[in-house]
Amino acid sequence: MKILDLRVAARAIAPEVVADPATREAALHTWRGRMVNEHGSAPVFLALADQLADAGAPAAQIEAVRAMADEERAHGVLCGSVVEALGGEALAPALPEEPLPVHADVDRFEAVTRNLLSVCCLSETVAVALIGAERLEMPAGPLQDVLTRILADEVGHARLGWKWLAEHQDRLDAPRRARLGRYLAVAFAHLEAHELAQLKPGGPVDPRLGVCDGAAARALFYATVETVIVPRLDALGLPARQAWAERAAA
Amino acid sequence: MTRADAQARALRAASRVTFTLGLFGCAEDVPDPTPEPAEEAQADEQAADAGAPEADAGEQRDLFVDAAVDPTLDAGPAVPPDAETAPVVADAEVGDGGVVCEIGDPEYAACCDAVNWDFDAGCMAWGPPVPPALLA
Repeated sequence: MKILDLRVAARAIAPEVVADPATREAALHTWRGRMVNEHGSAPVFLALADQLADAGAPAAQIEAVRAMADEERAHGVLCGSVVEALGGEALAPALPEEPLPVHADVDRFEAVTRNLLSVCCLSETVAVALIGAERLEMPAGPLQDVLTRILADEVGHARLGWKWLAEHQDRLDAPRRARLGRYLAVAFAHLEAHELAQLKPGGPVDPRLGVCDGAAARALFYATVETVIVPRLDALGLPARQAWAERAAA
Repeated sequence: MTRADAQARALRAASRVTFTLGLFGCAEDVPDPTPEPAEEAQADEQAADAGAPEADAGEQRDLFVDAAVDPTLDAGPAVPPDAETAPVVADAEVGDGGVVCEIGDPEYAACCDAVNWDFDAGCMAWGPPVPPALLA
């Protein structure tokens, strides 16, 4: 198996964190999990860059997406630095690498559009809301600085997908929009399962250490999907409301 | 700040990232349902834009926010320059060794136990997962 070992890089950052003994363990688990998830998403952006190249995207855009992979690795190090500051080790089982779907049933433009919808318009837009709320609840200090840095990059990652959709409206004919709608139902189901699995209600809560209230985070997740993502996708001509309603059957 | 306030402001920030100036021009067909005071808008925008220039930032900007972004806003701690090149993922043997651990596989849980992993820890939903495939 692979072990993700960010100890050396993480210790070089050393943010000053004062841990409450009552919630320290929960904070350790949370930040170690974030370290794994963030670092583990770098291959997603590298594969997205390759798919964008295959779809004929401009070189500057492809390079920007490759840089996003670097940002995700840097986020892993930042989260690892919090683990170390809490007295833990920035060491954990790495996520198993999975290939990005190629969506061979459609052309390369539509294939990469599906993946941009899932990664940027769904996952990263939800991340902007979750991290943004956590940052606002956290007192000023080194930990909030970490969140500010990560949030700033996540905004760019989310915008990649929204910008792609806006720029390619003329290529989204009716059959493509219908097919993307069917894909959205699958992507919404996947997103919901992923978020609910990771946002657990009932555990310790400590906004000072980034240990969020799982129930509140779940509520924010649903609000983001239902009041931000779905209406915007609908406005861009994709049948998102229908897809969200049909996600359970997808 | 109350949790409700924080969530409302975070939602507005998420809403703003969905709007870009592309071929749409000024198609504000999903107006912000909860307009915010100007100073709140500026604070949120500073947070959302800190250190996140777009490749074509000259052409792209949020439609909702006119507030100037403070270019001196601290974008958070820097990652050491050698962090990206460090051998951060290494092959290692944990538990019975040589096992490829997959999420959901009992062996993966055993490996995680070896490093005190806690599957029940919450609030970790960061980092986009690999998108799903569309099964026929």
